[in-house]
Order: sequence, then C-alpha cells, then structure tokens
Amino acid sequence: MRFKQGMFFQGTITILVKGKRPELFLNQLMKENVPVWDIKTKGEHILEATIFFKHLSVVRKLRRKHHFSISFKHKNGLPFILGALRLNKPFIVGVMVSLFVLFLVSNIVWQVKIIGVTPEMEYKMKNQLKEYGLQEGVLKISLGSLEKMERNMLKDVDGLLWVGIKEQGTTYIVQGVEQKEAERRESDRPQHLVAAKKGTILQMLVEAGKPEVQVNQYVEKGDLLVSGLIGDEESGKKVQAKGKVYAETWYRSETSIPLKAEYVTLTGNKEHQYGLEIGQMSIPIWGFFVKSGQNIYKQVEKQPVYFLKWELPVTFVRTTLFEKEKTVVDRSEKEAIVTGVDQARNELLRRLHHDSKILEEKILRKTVENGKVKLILFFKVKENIAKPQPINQGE
Amino acid sequence: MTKWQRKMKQWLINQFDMPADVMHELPRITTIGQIHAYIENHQGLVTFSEKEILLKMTRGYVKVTGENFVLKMMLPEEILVEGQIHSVQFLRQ
Repeated sequence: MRFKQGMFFQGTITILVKGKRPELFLNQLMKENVPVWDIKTKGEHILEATIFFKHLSVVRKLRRKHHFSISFKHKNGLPFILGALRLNKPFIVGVMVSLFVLFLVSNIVWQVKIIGVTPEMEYKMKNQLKEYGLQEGVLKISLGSLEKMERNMLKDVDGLLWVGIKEQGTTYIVQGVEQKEAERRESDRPQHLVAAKKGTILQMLVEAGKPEVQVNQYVEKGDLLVSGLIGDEESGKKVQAKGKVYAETWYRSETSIPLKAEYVTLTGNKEHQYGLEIGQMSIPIWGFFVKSGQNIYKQVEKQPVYFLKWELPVTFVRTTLFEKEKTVVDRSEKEAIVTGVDQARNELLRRLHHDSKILEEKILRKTVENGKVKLILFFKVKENIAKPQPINQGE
Repeated sequence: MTKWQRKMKQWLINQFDMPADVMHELPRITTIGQIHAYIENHQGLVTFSEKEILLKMTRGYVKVTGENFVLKMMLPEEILVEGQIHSVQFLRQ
C-alpha cells in the first residue's frame, strides 16, 4: 500500500456517503483515479471511506452530479493543522514575538556592577566601560572580548592596579583594585652611602654626611662614599647620609644584527565579518565579499548566545581581518652597525636610571659571519652610584 | 474481441508462458488465509456490505462472502478486502 505513504503530510478526510447504493459513488471515485481506503458500512445506505485531502475537489464535483449526500466526519494531517494555525495567526505571531523578545532579553546586558573601588574610581571606570561599549542595555554579542577590555582599562584608567570582568548571566561584574599610594616612610635611620658599582667619581652632591672620597677617585663596588658618622669617635653622631655621587661607569654589550631581515606589520586596514556557528556549520551574516589571501591576519572572537539561562548551541562569531605587510630589510654592513649600536644603546638606557647619561660609545670588535654582524660595544656612562647602607645600631 | 484475436492470445499464452490474467483481462484473486482478499483487474464495485462484496469483471461477477468486511484499499482495478472470508464465487450473469 505504497500510496498510503505521506498520509500525514498530505492530509486525509473521512467522509460519510449516504444514499441509495453508495457503492456507486465509490465506483465513480475509482474512475477518477481517486484512491479510497478503510471503507466500512455504517448502516444500510451509509458508507464510511477515507480519501486524501487533495481529492476533495473531485468529491465535491461528483456530489453535484449524484443524489448522494456526503458529510465529512473528521480531518487528519498536516494541512489541517496548518490551516487551524493560519486561522490563529495573531496567536502564532504573538508566540513568535514573545520568543524573540525573550531571546533578546536573555542576550542583553542588564546590569554592570562595579565593586571594590571608591566612588570616584567607580565613576571613572563606568565612563570608560561605556566607551568600550559595556553598559546596561546593550546586546551581549556586540561586546568585544572581556580580556581586551580589562587590558585597555588598566591602560586607560589611571590609578587602577587590577581589573577583572566577570559575566554572570545578564550581569557583568567588574572588580577593580586601586593603586594605593603607599606612603613612603622617610626613614631617618642612620645610613652610609656606598658604591653600587665600580667607577671613577665625577661629581659629588652630598646633602648630609661626611664625604669619604674625592672627585676623580676610582672606587670599587661596596666602597664607602659618604659616611653617616660625623665627628670624633667619642662625640660621634650617627646621621643619615644623603646625596648623589655621580661616577663614570663602564658597560660592555654584545649585539648581533642580521643583514637581511623580514618583518610582518599590520597596515591598519581591517574588515569585519560576522557570522553564526552551529556545531560545525558556520553561517555568514555580514561581510561576505572580503578579499582574502595570504596577507591577512585573522582574529576570531566567539560569543555564546543565550536563551534565558541556557547557552544555545549557536555561537556568534566576529572575525576581524587585518591586512598584513611584509617588509624585507636588506642592510649594508654600515647600516647594520648603526642599527646595532642604536639597539644596544636603547637597551642600556632602559636599564639605567633616568638621570644617567652615556658619555662615550665605542665598537670594540666587529665580526661578520653567517649574514650577521656581531658587535662588541663599550659604553662609558655617567650615573649615580650611591647606594644607602644602614648603620647597625648595635655597632 | 473477435474470435481470431482470442485464438491469437491463447496461442501467445501457450507459446511464451505468459500469465493468463494479463492476456485475458481476467481477475486475479489472492487470498491470505481467511483474512485478506486481494482482487485485481476488477471493473467496479457493485454491492458492498459487511457480509458480501460483489465485483464486476470483464465477463460476469465475483462474489466474496464472509463477515466484518472492510475495504482496506480501493484503487482503479485493485481492491483489498479485509475480514473473515468464507467463500469466493464466480457468477456468470
């Protein structure tokens, strides 16, 4: 009975045929190629039969020609269910709209709580968060990555030591830790000033204490520069030696610079792509015609989508494509040396205190090997070498 | 159908071992125990009741008697009867 397949989808109607010799009506149907099934007698001149919904028009046409009275007993199948739904259009629309609203509401940021900071900081943070797009009423999927936000926040808000952003349903909890200006206790404990490294004294600015060395004197590491003991041994007083002792110090550094180098930089051109990901399948929503190629750096951010508290198996994917640029640097030996010296100098300056100065720089040795220039450099630096050393009270 | 045609058909059936119902437009009735009767090549339903079904054939009628008859399926030239079948009779009228 293959014809019965898809009965539910096509829809079926059970009809009652009343009249004299209802079999004739069935014969007529048969001649019209209408399949009929489940035929039962329901009395002397009554037959019950079932037909497909699509053949209803044939039945109606035949009814007009004959004296049979036909009544419909019950209807079954998808077309009728849909028909019933169509009558209830407002209801359907209402359900759809409410589902959509519910979905929207589950993906909206309802509250941003800032905890752990003073009111001023809270205000500052709130404004900053607004700038990043995190505030009440925005869609969750419009937010970027929280980690990035945390990082930017630390950079943009002064006085913030740590920020943690946590997502809890529709609430975002931002926890901050403020930098507390630790009160630097001016200790008034007696101290000496000693040399932090070896060098030749160039300049001495002593505020308190007794200088023990002279300008142009060579000192070793640990040598006493300014004593905290004034006066005789008997009437001696212990003070806190203070001051700056500038000395000429020496540094040696090695660098190697390749003659050929390749850098990859981003040009700043970027394009966005948005899409949904369901399991393994991804559906692009926006940004179809983005040029792709090798010079592209892709950054993918994924955002789960919620319905009430449940995470849907759908992820909102935001892809940012950055244009990459490859730079090939081909240096001559001279240029390589200049770059190497610059590099070494910058590195040294980074290590030194900011009131230090480079007095002289010299290339001690230069070798070229394997396409690299190796340099051994010498730097003469003027810097403060004074280091406090407490005088033990017990002494 | 002329006599000559009938003879020709009979000859074909004999020579090529063709099934008789196809060539002669005769009814093919298959019964499954007592519960089902599958009737092909019928020409129409004449009467149908719980106890008796009369079907028109090319020549004559077929009468199926029994109890609790339900026509499970009715297609052009095919009928499936379900119920308690007592007898199948061929009537020439």
